[in-house]
Amino acid sequence: MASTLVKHAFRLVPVFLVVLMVVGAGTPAAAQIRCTQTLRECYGRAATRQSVWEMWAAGVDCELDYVQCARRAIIGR
Amino acid sequence: MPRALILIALFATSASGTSAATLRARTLPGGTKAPAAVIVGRAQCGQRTWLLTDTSELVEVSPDGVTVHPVRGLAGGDDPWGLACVTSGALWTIAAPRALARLGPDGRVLERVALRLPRVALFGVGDALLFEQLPTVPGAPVLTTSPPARPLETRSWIGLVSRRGASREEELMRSFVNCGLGRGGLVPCWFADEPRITLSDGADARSLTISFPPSVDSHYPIWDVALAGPDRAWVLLAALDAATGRRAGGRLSVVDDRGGEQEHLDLRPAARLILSATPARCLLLNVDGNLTEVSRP
Repeated sequence: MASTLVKHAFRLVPVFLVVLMVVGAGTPAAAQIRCTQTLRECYGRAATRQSVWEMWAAGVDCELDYVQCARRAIIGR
Repeated sequence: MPRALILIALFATSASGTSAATLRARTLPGGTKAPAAVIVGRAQCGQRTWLLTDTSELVEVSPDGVTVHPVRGLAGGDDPWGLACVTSGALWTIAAPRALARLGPDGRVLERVALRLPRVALFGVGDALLFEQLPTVPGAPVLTTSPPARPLETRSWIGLVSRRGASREEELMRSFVNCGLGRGGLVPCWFADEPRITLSDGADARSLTISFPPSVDSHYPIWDVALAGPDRAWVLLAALDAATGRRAGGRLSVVDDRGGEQEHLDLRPAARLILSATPARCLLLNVDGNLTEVSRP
């Protein structure tokens, strides 16, 4: 009986996580997680540019995307 | 056990109620409500306060009421952010990270100015724009000024200094800056994640640290600030609004020149921002779109 309850509880974990993600989607913490992942991927692409100047410029664009991604949740009123 | 509960209750009372809640609030008679869209910029020009929303609406709040103007004439890909009013009464926004736009009072784009470096926050001070631009450099001033139409004539704004982080992501996350309503060339600005306000006129700066009760969001405690005189400021402190589930200004405090709370009022409904302020009065935009006037006795 107890093991069945535990199994049911484990099946609900993904549902619980999805609910947490939806509820927290507009919070600063959620924005930080989502936007940081995008920034790391963008830095990775910027590092493949030919010249140092192009890498720097692409890196600034990555940081701009990051700020634009996160600021509504943090600064928006 | 009952004795312990009484002690906890006494401690909680003394921690949250160090000053009397003597402020009075009055909801102003209804008229046009401000849009519910996210407000991405606020500027004050004399008797008028202007708001810019992320759905490209320019909202005018004057003694006559609230008027909403759609922003027209934006270029494809524009995503306006920030709003500043300069001495001439002109309104400026960051139309795109590398382009400023001057808006007419009817919301029309009247002029565009290209930028070399992307700007990510915009405020006004006197006849200059006060802004944050990328890339930020740890240890250097976060904010810069320039005349609106001469973006290369920049000057560092002494005050907030970019902070280091364990990673570049952390440095960026710690670089979110907001500024409130200033007075006499003095502008209050703060990092979103700090309980400290820096007052600066561009050359000299000083800071005041705000104390707050547990009901305030400790991660991003300061929601908005308006200077009310040489030694007082209205401070909106952030909290989760139970009715809407949104973060908003849940507590309004009057603080002295050292950050000490003189008076406070818990706001229901919560406030989205401060529209205007004098030493005796503060006008708030509520999360329900109405305006509330808070006055001191």
